[in-house]
Amino acid sequence: MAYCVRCGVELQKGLKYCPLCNTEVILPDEENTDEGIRPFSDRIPRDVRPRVNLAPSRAFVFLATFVILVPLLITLIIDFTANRTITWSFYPVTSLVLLWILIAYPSLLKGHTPFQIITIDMLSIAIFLMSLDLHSGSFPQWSQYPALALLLLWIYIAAPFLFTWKRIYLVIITWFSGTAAFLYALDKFTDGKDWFYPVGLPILLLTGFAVAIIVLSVKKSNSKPLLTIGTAAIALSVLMIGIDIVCNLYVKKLFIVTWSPIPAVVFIPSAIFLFIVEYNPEFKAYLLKKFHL
Amino acid sequence: MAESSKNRDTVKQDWYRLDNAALIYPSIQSDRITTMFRLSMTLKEQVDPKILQASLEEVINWFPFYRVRLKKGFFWYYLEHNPALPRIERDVRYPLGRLHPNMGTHYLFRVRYWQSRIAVEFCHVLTDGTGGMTFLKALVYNYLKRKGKDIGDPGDIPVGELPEEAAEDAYNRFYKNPLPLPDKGNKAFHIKGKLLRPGAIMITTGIIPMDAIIKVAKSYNVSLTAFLVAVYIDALQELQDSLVAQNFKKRPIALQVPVNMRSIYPSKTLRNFSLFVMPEIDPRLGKYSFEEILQIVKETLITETNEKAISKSLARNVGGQRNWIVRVIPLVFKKLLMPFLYTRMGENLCSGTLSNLGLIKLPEGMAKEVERIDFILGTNPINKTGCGVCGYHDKLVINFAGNIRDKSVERLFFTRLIKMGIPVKIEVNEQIKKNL
Repeated sequence: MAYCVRCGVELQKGLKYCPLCNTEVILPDEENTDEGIRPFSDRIPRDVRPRVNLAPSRAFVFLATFVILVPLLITLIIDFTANRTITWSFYPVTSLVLLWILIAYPSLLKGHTPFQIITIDMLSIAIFLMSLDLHSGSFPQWSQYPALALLLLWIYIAAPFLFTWKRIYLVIITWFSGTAAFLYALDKFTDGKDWFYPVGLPILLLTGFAVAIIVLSVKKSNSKPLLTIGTAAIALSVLMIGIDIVCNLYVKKLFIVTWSPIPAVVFIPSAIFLFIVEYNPEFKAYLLKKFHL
Repeated sequence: MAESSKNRDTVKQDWYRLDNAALIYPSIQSDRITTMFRLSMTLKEQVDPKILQASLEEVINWFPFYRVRLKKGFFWYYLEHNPALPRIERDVRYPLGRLHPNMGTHYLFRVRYWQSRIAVEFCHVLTDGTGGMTFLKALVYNYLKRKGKDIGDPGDIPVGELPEEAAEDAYNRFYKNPLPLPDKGNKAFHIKGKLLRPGAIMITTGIIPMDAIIKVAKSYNVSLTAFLVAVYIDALQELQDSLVAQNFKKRPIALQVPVNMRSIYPSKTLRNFSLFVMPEIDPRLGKYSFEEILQIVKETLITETNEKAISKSLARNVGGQRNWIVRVIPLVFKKLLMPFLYTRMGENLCSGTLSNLGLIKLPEGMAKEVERIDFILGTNPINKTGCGVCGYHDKLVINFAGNIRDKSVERLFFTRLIKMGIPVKIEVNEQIKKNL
């Protein structure tokens, strides 16, 4: 039987320090604590993370079906009795059908993944928009733009699912080519103004280059945030100068810089300052002392 | 209350509304606020998991209102019959961890075993200490019976399906409208400290001979609960004095002391039916002697623990639930509001909780097989420590559970008892490895 000399409490077998006041136990019991009953097991509880469930229950889909069906029928009948054909009711009806698909699809498909659900949802929205465009006259008038944007968004979402974040370079390359294809397609749709090769692609390349440098610096200079921020600042300055030149070449047909030196003179000296701070521990300590919060 | 269908008995209703006290818990529960409490019985022999599992599978059917999972309705959460069977688990070093995050498919309680101990951990959505203890008694009684022990007559322990009254929401039954609202209260003193990582919990158990502590409490002419509350408040007072120098910067020290409402209202419910009284001192007015604190606690417990005083809090809580404006707010918005209410009207107002389950009585045959009973409260990030007290046979077991490493309150509390000549034995769930 051991007692804490400071608190006066009797202590559980095998304790080396008093749990209340941390005083060392002067006459500890036998070292072997495996015998007898310990108050708690040593097992550490398992950490369970929540699972996202996008699928509503079937009963809920049933309920939603009827809630959606009533306004759908009302609009159809009103439109039909007045005009003897479907005119304006096309819009609310297709919207309601889209809503139903978004709600019901995940629960009707067995063994779905969140990615499948997102894919089907985006596809439904694209088809919905195109059907609106088709109904209102000559096709395609405007729906190709949101459809393309949705496709691009889908590529952005799909790439991490496909390659996982471990292969971030592949993800970035996919995003990059997806964006390039998107811009090229936009250029083709807005016919007459050839802007993809002189403006779109160079800016995209520069941006991709800057992003690659930033990702690389984050990966290489681990636990040195000043280096990362400095590198990012320099990459951004170069990017802005590049954009400036490309734009001037396209608009004024002149190889000049106009506005980009202003942010550059802010970013580049700041970056140099950060590098100096990182590699000068004394100066870093001085700054921490002076400006601690 | 079970929503029993009046006309068609063919479809048995299998869902329950949350009772009034439970309404807030689903929205606030998290890694940090687990809203759990734990009751355990230590037997004289090793626990046989297979027999325990078989017992659990039988006993859970007598308590249909615990055989549930939590579901979201459009306006409120509700409890729905859970077709899966509950499984027992091996005990862990840090009990009272949060329930499985996907509560819609999992049980709201756990049964854990380790060596000779059987523990149940309940989420407060289901029940309070009295309900939990009834369940544990029924489980252990059934377990011992299956083991072939001669444990005699069950007494008041359930051994079969319970009457429907056990599932009622007694708050709503005894609600009277309209009544004046209780005081809003002030922001109380809180222990400071860096929180442990979510899930970790420091348990400090003090085991005290019952006769020694009863003798001291009697010498002051107060009940055991009043005595322990006074010691706790005194300990918190000393802690605040050591942290805050100027009197005017101090905060009131108030303790939440749950009151079992079944002793005030004639209800046999096994779901939540308890409310709090809050003995409080205001150290801005000066240092209180132990006798002064004792006097305040004693009087608060007497004047606040009666039907009239309690019905005020009952009216406020149930009145809020019955308000039509509150009812028609969709659950998504209610969920945003609840954590705010919980801190503002609950945890902020008190410095800690002391819950005394009283002396647990077991039928004679069963008492021979049970060594000890423990009651542990879950922690929350505002109050940091909670104190569960429960007496059995010749021992009083006081369990402090905290989510900070510092054990000043525990030390101040137990050394006070030592100074009064009450011997205390300390147990912990985690040893301190080095001198801090």
